[in-house]
Amino acid sequence: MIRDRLQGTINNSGDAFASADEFLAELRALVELGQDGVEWLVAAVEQFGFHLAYPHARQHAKVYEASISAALAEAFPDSPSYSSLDERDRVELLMRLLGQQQAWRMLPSDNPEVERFRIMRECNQRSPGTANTIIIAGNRGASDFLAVLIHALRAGWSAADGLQIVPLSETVDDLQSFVQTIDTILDLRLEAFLGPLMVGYSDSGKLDGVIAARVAIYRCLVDLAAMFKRRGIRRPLYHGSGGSPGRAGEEIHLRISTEPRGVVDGCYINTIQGEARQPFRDADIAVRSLERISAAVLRATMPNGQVVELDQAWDALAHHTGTAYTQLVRSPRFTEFLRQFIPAEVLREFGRRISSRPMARIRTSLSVDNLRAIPWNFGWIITRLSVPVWYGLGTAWQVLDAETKEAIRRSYRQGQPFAVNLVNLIEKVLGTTVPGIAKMFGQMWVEDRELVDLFLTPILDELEKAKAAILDIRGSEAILDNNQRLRESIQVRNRYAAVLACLLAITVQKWRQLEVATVLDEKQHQKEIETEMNVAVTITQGIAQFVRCHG
Amino acid sequence: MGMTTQNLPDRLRHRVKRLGEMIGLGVKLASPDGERIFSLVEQFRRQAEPSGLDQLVGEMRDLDAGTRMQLSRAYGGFADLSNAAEDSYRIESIRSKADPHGLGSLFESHGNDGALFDALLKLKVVLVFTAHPTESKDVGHRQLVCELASRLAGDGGDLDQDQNLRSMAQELLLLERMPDSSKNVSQEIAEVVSDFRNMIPAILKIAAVLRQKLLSLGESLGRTVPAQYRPIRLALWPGVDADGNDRVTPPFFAETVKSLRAGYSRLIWSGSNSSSRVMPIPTTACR
Repeated sequence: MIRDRLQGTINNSGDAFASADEFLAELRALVELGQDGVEWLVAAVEQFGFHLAYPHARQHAKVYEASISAALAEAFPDSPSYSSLDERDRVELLMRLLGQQQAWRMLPSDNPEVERFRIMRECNQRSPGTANTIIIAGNRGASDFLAVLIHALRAGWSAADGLQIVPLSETVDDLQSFVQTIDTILDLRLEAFLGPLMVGYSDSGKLDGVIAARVAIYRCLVDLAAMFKRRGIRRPLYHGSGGSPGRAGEEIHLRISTEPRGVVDGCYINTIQGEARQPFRDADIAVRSLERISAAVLRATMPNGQVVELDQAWDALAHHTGTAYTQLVRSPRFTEFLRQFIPAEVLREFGRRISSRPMARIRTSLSVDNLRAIPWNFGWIITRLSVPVWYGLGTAWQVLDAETKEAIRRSYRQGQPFAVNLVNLIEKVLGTTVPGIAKMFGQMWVEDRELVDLFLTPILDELEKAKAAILDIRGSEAILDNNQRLRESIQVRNRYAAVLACLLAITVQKWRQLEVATVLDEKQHQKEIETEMNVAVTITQGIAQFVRCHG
Repeated sequence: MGMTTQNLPDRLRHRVKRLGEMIGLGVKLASPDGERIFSLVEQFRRQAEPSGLDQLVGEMRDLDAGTRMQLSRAYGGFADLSNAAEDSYRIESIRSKADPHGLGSLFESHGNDGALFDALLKLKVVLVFTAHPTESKDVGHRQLVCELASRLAGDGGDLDQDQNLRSMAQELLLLERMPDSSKNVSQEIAEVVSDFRNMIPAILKIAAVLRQKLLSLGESLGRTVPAQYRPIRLALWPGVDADGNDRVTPPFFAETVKSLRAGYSRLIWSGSNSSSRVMPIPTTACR
């Protein structure tokens, strides 16, 4: 009978349970009657209720901006376009609209984003709290938050429904103004709709380089902690990290231990993507991972007498590193180089088969802005350079003065958690680089030799400078000399990955030649192209397995 | 094929060697010219030096696509199995050692601390797994790798005699890892949910440890403990069309919520009805 009622609850039919508590009461009654084997089920329902997991929707801020812009143009054709307004005017306009229920109706009821909120609301009404969270990617200001809120209100959401809008800040510029954005939202007295605050490691690392991004996130968290204190409020932090080093893929408990004081207050939300799923796939490792994360959150929450703050010298390092990195990836011909140097066609096909999302936001462009963070990092991993993690460090180290450099070395020596974690991460990545493979790809794939001279040669020079900088910071003689087992493991894996890299170099070259070849038998030609692509994707999968990373 | 280093423990080295032998056997069985492919696999492995890549490329340049495909599957299969063996070894190491980063050392160092009680009360860890439908694709491949690595762990499985093992080795070398467009949303999400099966007992175990500590601290400090305590939660991040997967449309979201509930219900129900009274948890490193 309980099983039938459970089925009815799933299907929303028949004699469904009104709540998980009702289900629990029946199970407990069975336990009291001496029914064997129900304890596990009781424990599961106590912990999870009817829902093992709650889906968090996610949409890009630009979608809502475009939607509002189109609706306003339709309703007020003579007014200046919404997209031409500055942030302040946008906020003022949207606040006016927010106060007039009639104005929300300018959004048509079949607007896809209104439809999304309507469906979320239906799910949430049936089981409160199950579908009330939406993440706004690329949130740049309070106006983005307001644009989302208007769509939600149009779909019938109200403050009482518990809607949680999660602004996601994911570029260095946006991280630097994130506190101001949140302050504005709170000044507008919209805290009822403000959910956890999310910081993104992927796009920030892609656009500004990992070192600049990680320091910017750290400083952003410090500022948020100060704002929480000043306003007497709390919001959980939501960390959007991925599986590769370029997307903060280190073990989560290590990253928690690096958070500034006052940020982690009992709550920690973190995305688990790609290779980051690995610590949860086996029951024993999952127990150990959960234990470490829980312990790290508890440690970060309890008062701690000895706090070593991150020295300001790191901001100077981040600035110079970020400048060098952005100069590289935004150079006029860099996209042209990238298109030939990373096996873009293979990554696109690989992504279609394996990955969760299209490779680029706009499919024809491979610029740093357009290419998604996962293929961006994976592309650099395949070329065995992992540029986003370390590029610019060598140049920065040459620019910094002696005092600043000593402050950075001191942070590491004294065990400042953020400094130690970041230096160790960079060193590990430097230990996996294989310049010989990168040179081979450059030689075989980049037809314009000028592009090699312009980009690959300086990248390889910078790699050596970055290694020297890390050794200087750590006061050491050789990369990974403090972890011989890891060093040997990388060397052995690299041997196999090198064979696959050679196979990839040849296969991509053949594929590209076929793509531009003039043929008589088009059908046969297409078959050959498909065959070569199939081989290339299989090789790429093999390389990813050897380096244990898909980006 | 073998993978040895001076710093690898003997047991792991032994396992990886057996996996290499198995892949070698699979290569020989997977195609009529398996012996030729196997000799190429060995030849290139020995030649692969960072300083000699040009020579290696020169020797590979005239290989046809079929040969390159078989070579890449051989190396890729070996990588899969080596990773599984390493994970399996890691699990054994974890079982045998106390963890300085774990709860035990934290509880020991904080005794009857009121600050620990307060932190436990506030504790809320939310792990948000991406749950894109495409992530269900690899399940068949992972299961095969998992089973092979498990069969060859320790002294299990005789490569020369066990026909089933030989067939599995061959299958690994032939398996196509392509998208399965025949699945509907419910099937895909059900697979993603079933992927969480190891998380349920793990969360219950850690939640019970945390709750026990909270209760004992509450008793010694004279503090009240709430009836409901859910310190660890799971969330899913299916993404949305314009910022994620094209297929994650509004109806997909609704279907996800429904599939999640159904998939989870089946999981916990089957767990409670199994003869062992626990979830059927694989003991190897893979899911």
